[in-house]
Amino acid sequence: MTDAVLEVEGLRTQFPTSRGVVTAVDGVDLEIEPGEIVGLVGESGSGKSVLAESVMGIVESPGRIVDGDIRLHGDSLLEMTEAERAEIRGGQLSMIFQDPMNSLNPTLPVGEQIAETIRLHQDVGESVSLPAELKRKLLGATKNSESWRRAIEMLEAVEIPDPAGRATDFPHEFSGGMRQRAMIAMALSCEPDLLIADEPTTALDVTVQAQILDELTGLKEAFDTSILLITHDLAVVAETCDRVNVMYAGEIVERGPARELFAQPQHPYTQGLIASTPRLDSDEPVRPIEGNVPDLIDIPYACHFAPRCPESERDCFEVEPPFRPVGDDGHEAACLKRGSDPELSVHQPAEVSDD
Amino acid sequence: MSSETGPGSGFGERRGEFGPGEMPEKYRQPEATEEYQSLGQRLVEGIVNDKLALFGAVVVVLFVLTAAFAPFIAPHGQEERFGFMKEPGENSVGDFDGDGQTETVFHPLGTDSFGHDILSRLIFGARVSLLVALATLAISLTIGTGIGILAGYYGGVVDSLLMRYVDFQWAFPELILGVGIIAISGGLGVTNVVIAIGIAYIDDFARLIRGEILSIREEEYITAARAIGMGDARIMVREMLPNAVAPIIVQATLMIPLAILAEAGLSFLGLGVKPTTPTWGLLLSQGRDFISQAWWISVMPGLAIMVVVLAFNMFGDGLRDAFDISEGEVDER
Amino acid sequence: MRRYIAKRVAHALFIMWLVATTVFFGLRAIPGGPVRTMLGQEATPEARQALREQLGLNQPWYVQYADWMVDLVTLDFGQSITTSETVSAAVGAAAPRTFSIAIVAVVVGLSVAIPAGVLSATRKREPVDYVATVGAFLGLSMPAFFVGILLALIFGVWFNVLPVFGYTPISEGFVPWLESIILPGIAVGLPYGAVVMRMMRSSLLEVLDEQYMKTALAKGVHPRVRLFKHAIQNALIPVVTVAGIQLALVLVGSVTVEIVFGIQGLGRLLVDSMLDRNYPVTQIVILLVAAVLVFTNLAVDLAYTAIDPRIRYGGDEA
Repeated sequence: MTDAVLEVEGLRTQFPTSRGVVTAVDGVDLEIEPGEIVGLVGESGSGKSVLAESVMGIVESPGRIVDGDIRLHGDSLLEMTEAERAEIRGGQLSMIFQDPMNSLNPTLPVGEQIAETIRLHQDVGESVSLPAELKRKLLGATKNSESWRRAIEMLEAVEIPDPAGRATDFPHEFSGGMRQRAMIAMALSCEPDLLIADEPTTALDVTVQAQILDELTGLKEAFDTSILLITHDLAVVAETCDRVNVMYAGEIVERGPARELFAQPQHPYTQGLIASTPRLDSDEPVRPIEGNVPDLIDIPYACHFAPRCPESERDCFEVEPPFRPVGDDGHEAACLKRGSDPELSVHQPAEVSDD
Repeated sequence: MSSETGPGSGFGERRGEFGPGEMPEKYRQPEATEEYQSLGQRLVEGIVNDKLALFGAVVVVLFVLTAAFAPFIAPHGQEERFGFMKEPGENSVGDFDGDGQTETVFHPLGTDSFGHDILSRLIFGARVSLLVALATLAISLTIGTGIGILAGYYGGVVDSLLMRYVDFQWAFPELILGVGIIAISGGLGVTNVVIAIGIAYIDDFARLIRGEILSIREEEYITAARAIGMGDARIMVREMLPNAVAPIIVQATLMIPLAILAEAGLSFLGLGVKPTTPTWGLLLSQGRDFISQAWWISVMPGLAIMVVVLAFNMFGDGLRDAFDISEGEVDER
Repeated sequence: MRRYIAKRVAHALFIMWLVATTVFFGLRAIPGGPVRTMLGQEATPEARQALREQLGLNQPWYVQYADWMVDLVTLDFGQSITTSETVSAAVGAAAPRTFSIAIVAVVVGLSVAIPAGVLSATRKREPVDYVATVGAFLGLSMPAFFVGILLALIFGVWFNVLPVFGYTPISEGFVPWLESIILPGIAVGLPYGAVVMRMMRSSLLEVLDEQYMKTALAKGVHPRVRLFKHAIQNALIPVVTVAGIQLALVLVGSVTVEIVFGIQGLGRLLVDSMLDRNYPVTQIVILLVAAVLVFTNLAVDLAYTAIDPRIRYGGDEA
């Protein structure tokens, strides 16, 4: 497993608040192999964005990582200095955010925002000192520079028409879909090993969503990048991801190959998620999961989903459920009642199984 | 009961010891729902937690009380005369009440060139300053809000016209208006000051309310109100106004210090109240001639203005934060 | 952008026209008629007649109005009633003094306010922030003329280091000029700077919370570069607005501060001419003040085109 691009082990991230300590990420393990698109699915409040920020090292203070490790190609990110992490951020490891409208700086031309990334992480021989950057800002970027040239190439790669002309435009002159493409261009400009995409299509129209997803998959091939795709939209994950992790209340509850996981969800939460998603191809009534996502402060019971789970037993509250194989090819679920060798059996004899 | 199709089927059926929402006794936590706090409660909590705002609130209350109960609080009448130009902390000795006996009167803030006790003058002045501020507030608030609502609600031509007026009026600061009104009315006086300052600050309210209305206008409950046939006036007053109350209150609280400062300025220039009305601005102006011999005659009213204006600003700022604040904010350590 | 500029300029000219018209009718709205008020009750009918002719008041109002407009455009402001000079001379002597104070106030105010605001925001809740915030609160709580009195007291009376009376024109040397207006300039600049500083602070704090700052962080941009290249320009936009709006405060403040320091500027001219009923002068001073306000407002609007690209290139909305 050492050629994995990203290894997250036992990650725990906490935020002190006036009401107590919020544990947004509570002991998460995650792995991403080269060339994979891995999905991270969960509702709001599940901690998926905090997980992404933890990996990038941009968790907002006073939040901090209190436990665990994060390794990029085997190198521990948490043991590096901030300067070393800043070198990696945007270079080998990059991220795009949900809201393209607000994720680009309104006072800098789009091309400049991309060129800046290139300057920081690629060897193009251009200074990134404060005076140099300010000069570029005030006088306009030099159009002859290597970084500018490459920025235009990137805009072309994400299929923005008239890239050279558009590079001098400001974000408000781009449409929503184009802005997201520009963000993707910026994130991929340094050929990262891993791209984290946090809800990249949520703020976009449905038709544009499809385009962006295609863009991402295509670029993954072209740039040889792995992608961590974070979303609450099951359909998006089912479409694009090789493997999926399902996250609830700070924990990963189920993971496995996308196709299998959606065909045969095992963890009660995953089953609930799917049951609560309206489908066009069945007459199933949509069944919501009762209850609310828990307050992440000091959860006293073991399995975070237990209070809302229709199958919970006493042990579920007492014993931390380990991951057990529930299918082929690495399909695992963290539930005491699942797996080939469940520790607890179901009470009612008439168990409905899906074939 | 459950069909065989679809991967999510089967969910929801209770198959364990505990169903959804149930759990062993020891884990049962009291409902951690956020208690509904009324606006008033939230405000009070917000202010109490913000030290600066709290200080401001306390001083504001003291100021208002002083103004209200001036005759009972002031040690002497505002026209009573004692020793001339006594320094702060000095005593005047003499027969001031005509009873044949000499008294010793203590002047914590000194006396002015006429022998008036400055502390007493300040206390009575508080009353006038507050009344003037409130009167100007009444004018600018009502007219400004009215203009703002109409402009924001109707948009289009009405908006353009009203905003043009607001721009135009902006070219006449209270100073100029004060001059103009004096010229037209022929003399000084409190009414002039109130009108001049009241008109001068209409634009602040108008712009603020217009902005609020523009965003409220797009809210769904407005569309709903219109859909059920509610008349324009009713919508404006019953639906929009209550939701814009918070910024109005904040602005009003921040307007009072501006009004006090503006009145002080006008009176200082001699364009304000009649020389017999003891506002703080006038007191300051009266001391100007004696600045080198008796600096306290001007400085005391000046400090009073400063403290009260400061208090209102801090309080208003705290109010603004309290209205915007979200529950359970992350502490910064 | 050109459309934007043209619109703003046209708007400013329109407002000036409205102001001039208002002043015209305002003068004629004075009860008792302007002449009677100017000359008083005891004036002889001949004197009144002479004044009426001089002011052109015996002509139909529309003729007067046309004359008024023409006079304004050709800068022919007439004669002062109580002194023997032209209005232009009187105003021309007074204006530079007031403007000197105003300019010093703005320069001093901004050069302290903006760095203080930035420092305060970047070191939020540290001692520097508290000191600056409280300082700003104090600053904006004091009327300019009171600050002037305090400064005059400290630097003029107690420590006799700076002149506190009178104005030295710049023709007599830069340093003497500066000495004569530095105290009044600071007096007006302090409250102005305080307001600007608070806006700078709160605006920068808001910008630092924006999503695009997070993007810059995620790109590995150096903290100083994030502040100066990514944040500050965005933060300046509302600051420019406030700095412009508060110029009214500067002008009014300059006028009151003049009185404290015995400078014969527009303030003195306004008050004196009004008390003397020297209305030809009063109306021109009013117009001048309005013109300054309207056109600085215009300048602020135009400044936006430099700072906010969304105005420079009004783009299509997504």
